[in-house]
Amino acid sequence: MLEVLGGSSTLAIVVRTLVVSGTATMLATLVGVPVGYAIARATFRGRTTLLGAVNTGMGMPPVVVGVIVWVLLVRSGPFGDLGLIYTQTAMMLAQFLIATPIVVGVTAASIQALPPRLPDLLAVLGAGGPRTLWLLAREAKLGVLAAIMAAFGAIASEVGASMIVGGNLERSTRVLTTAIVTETSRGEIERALALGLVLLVLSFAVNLTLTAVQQRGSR
Amino acid sequence: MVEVHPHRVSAGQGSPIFCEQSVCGVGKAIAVCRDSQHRSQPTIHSRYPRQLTVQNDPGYPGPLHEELRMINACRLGIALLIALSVPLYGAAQSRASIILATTTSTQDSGLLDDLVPRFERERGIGVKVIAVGTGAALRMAASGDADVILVHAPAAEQRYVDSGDLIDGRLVMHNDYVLVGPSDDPAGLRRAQSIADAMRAIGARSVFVSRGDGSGTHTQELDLWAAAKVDPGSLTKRQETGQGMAATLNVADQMRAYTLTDRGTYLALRRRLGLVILFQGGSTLHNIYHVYAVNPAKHPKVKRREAGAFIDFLVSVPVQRAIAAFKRDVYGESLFFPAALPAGR
Repeated sequence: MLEVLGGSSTLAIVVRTLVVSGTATMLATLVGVPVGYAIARATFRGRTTLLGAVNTGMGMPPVVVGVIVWVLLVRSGPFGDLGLIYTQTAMMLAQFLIATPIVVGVTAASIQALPPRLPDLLAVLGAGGPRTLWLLAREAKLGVLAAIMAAFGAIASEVGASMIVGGNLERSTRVLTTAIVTETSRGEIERALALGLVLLVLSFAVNLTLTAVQQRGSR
Repeated sequence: MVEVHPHRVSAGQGSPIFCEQSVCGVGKAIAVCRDSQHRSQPTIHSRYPRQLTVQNDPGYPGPLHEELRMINACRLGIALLIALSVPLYGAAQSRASIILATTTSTQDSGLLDDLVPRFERERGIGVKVIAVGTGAALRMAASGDADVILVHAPAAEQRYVDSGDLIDGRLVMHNDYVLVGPSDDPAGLRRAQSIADAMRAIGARSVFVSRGDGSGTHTQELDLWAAAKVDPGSLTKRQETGQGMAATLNVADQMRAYTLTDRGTYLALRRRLGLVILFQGGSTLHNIYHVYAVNPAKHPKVKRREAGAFIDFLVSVPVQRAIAAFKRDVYGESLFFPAALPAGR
């Protein structure tokens, strides 16, 4: 089965998938962890509503995000002048929007699971705001890494948004999932299956790495 | 960007205490203090404990695992950011490119995989091929979301020419539509005298799989039902896939159903399909592809020069010859017939 993967295009697709979904996951982590922390720790009116909205966002259909981003970025749309439609940047943006609620939601849940007086304790020990966040994130490592893995898993396996905003262009925006759709539609089932296997292996490798970090020192 | 400053900060009785201060990027310094045997619980200070005497000490045990890990993670993060910003920067700086909205048939048959890289190489202009149906391609043109379109529904195209959205139309190539179905031909299409007969025979009792996506082929199918005086909405065994030609052929194949397809896509997929051609011929089944530029006077963001270059390229003699030769050696017949070659070729 693996001979159908020959050629440099498969490697390019794998690298592209990693770059697009990896960047989106990283950006979602940078935004989502502080926001999740803030929601978990702060008390304000509408907090429950906000958490409910975040949890809804965790189940947001990627294809809906794709259509929204397409409408915004297409040439006749409000951000059409940026020329971002059918680029990897557009895909990263869509995937970032899909991944962020997942990171926020899982992070908030795991921070809430920490002993409630821990932040006060850290403050007494002299830790400032950003440092408290960092130390709490380390305490909530299991949860935060689970958030990152869930986010990467969701966007690397998503096809609708990538297809719509990326356009599935052979040499610039075709990623593993959209390539699988194309090959299936062309009747190249062996190649579609082989690419599916590659996606699974890739997901496993990324998750294994993150799991290793997550589990280190936890026993 | 990453520094570790190990310092001996106190020299009381027992093990000396060491502090490490790590700085990553512009982040805040973190000092971690513990004894040299790593026995005591580390105490963490957000600021360096300046009140203690600080001196370099040869007894320093080296950075602790935890700190090393933190610093390495920081380094890795910075390296990744730099590495990832390169392709982003590159994408932003890339050459001019146009958006070509076209039909799935030109994409699924592989024709554009042949022609587009050649155009990009020869003219130095990138092409983003968005394979949708003719209907969607026309709507993209009408909103100025494409620069050039390659489509095959002449009547629908004319409306957009009249509205001033499309200009510089050129005939590029043609082939024909065929009715395909299971080889045992339950509806008896092989005996049909005309395309209207054939459509009525299918409508009477057979499963028909329609594109249902507003594409040129879908439009053609609806025209054929209308000409045969059959209301497609009344056919209980007619299904719509809403997908491209290749996907629809696969569905029809699995359902042992009839469908209408352009010859090019069918030939390109034939070796994987159990479907055979059951009705063909006649001017009604003619399938004509035109290329148009989107009117820059109406849609100012359109790249007029690059779109014009693509049109000139498609109708140029060498490319027209390449269209005629496309996969002819594989299938024994042409998938597309060039239409813009001068007389005598």
